[in-house]
Amino acid sequence: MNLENSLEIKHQALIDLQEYFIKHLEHALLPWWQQALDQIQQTPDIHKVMQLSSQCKRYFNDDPTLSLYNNLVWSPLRLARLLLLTQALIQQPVDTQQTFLHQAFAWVDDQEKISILKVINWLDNSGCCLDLVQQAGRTSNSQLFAAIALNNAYPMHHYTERAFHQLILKALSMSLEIQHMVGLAEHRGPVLNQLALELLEEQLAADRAISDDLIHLVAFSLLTSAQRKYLEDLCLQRRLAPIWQDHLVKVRGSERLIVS
Amino acid sequence: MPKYFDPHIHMLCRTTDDYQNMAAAGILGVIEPAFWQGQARTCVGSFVDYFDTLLGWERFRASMFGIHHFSAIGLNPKEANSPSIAAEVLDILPRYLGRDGVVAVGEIGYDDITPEEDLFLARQLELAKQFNLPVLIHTPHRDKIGGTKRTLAVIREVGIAEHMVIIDHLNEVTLPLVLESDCWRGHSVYPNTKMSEQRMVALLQEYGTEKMVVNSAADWGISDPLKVPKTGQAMRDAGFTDAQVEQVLFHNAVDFFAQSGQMDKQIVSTPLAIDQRRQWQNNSALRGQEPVVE
Ligand SMILES: [Zn+2]
Repeated sequence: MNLENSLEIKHQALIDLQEYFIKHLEHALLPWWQQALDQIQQTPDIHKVMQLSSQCKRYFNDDPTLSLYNNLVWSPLRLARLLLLTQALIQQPVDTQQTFLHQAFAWVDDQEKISILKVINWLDNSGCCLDLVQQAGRTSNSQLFAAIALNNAYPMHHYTERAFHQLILKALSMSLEIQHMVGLAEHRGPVLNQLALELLEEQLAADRAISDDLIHLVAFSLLTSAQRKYLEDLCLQRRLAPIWQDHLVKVRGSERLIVS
Repeated sequence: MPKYFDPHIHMLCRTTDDYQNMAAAGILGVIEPAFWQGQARTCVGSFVDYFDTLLGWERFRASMFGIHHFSAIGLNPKEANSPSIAAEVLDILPRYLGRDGVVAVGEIGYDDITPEEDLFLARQLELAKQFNLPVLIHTPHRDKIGGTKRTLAVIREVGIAEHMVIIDHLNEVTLPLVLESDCWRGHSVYPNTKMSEQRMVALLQEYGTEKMVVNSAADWGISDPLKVPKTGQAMRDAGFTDAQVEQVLFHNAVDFFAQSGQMDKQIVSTPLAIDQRRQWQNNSALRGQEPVVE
């Protein structure tokens, strides 16, 4: 067995998800669900998953009514499909789990890709599917991209610094709520400050509205004095929202306190 | 009406109406750079078919409407990040770079600015050097300043002549970086993002017309295949002469890509004679209409 290629699935999280799903399942649907799981247990291959997954639409609705763990909202349909897939995944020999996940990912539609990505941190604790996740992130489908970028600890654990910065910038360009990026605070610093200010400069030069969330990229206490001067001048010219000024004043205030 | 040329447009994504409107607006020719499909390809075979379609069916389709069609062939930045497919695409590029109608390597460059993108940008610049072809370089949407600086650095590392390179999608903050080099300057005029006609005019007023090139970069997204003539109108409204309009919106682009030796300025200066009786692999762009023959 090649440990480098093993996913290190967080089984308990999947068990919790399964139990939560069953608890909220309509009573009448339980028999179908149980026989579907039995079928997967007997034949845990991708064809069986696809076949059963295609039937789920007949039984489960797609209303986003289920919510487990912070900010992860599911519909019964999406959760059912994900659980069928993860059931087959955990029944694979450990050394072929990664291959199985790649194959499944290539076969499913975007909606199921989103479901997989939302829990990728549980499925691939080791980070061996980093490549798959980064490829998926090259999409222009903002929902799919959001599944990686928001409320997901995977990028924080496995992305390089540079890749994480790109993730932030793309989330910003897609107008996603970047406050929901796990690890954003840890990545604030001089590099991100510079990227944020360059983007600001571009938007100003193009006479375009400044992205509302751009301010969340900036570590005000780590701005160079030249950068701070640049922002202060823009505030004086009233080219930035007042909240920028508030942050600059706050930083200056705390510095005075340190000096005195 | 001045002569126009759109040196960056993805016609495969556009309709026959677009071709008709472009011809009516005075666009004599286009360059279609290879790019991605809105989603990742999964094998090298789909690149082969795509490149063949650009050089075959799409060129034929353009000719049905009197428009000269040329292509830039290359591995786009996004797909440089699928290393196994990317390497195979690099292997098939040489069989396209000498083909009829191929006037450049492109569009290549940075997207996420990854090490893989570094590698395939450099390798394709090397190929352009070997084939003595111009290069069309796309600059990224994110970290645009950093990406443009890095592009210029790689051009120097590889040692390709700067006058054989056009750096595209420039804006107010990246154009000054390119002005310090001998590279040509491309600008994509878009309905909402990238660059507007008015901002383009302002750049021409500030920096002059030398080596300045304008395109629509129209594709399957919200974009406008008439942005080159519309920029011409904006230039005239701002007081540019017809000669200056034609310099920027026809001659500059044609002069740059004519460095390929694959494009004759004399020929592209007149509309292609239309003969809609012609077919491509027994296929026509007509659907029961009377063929136009000029
Ligand atoms: Zn393009």
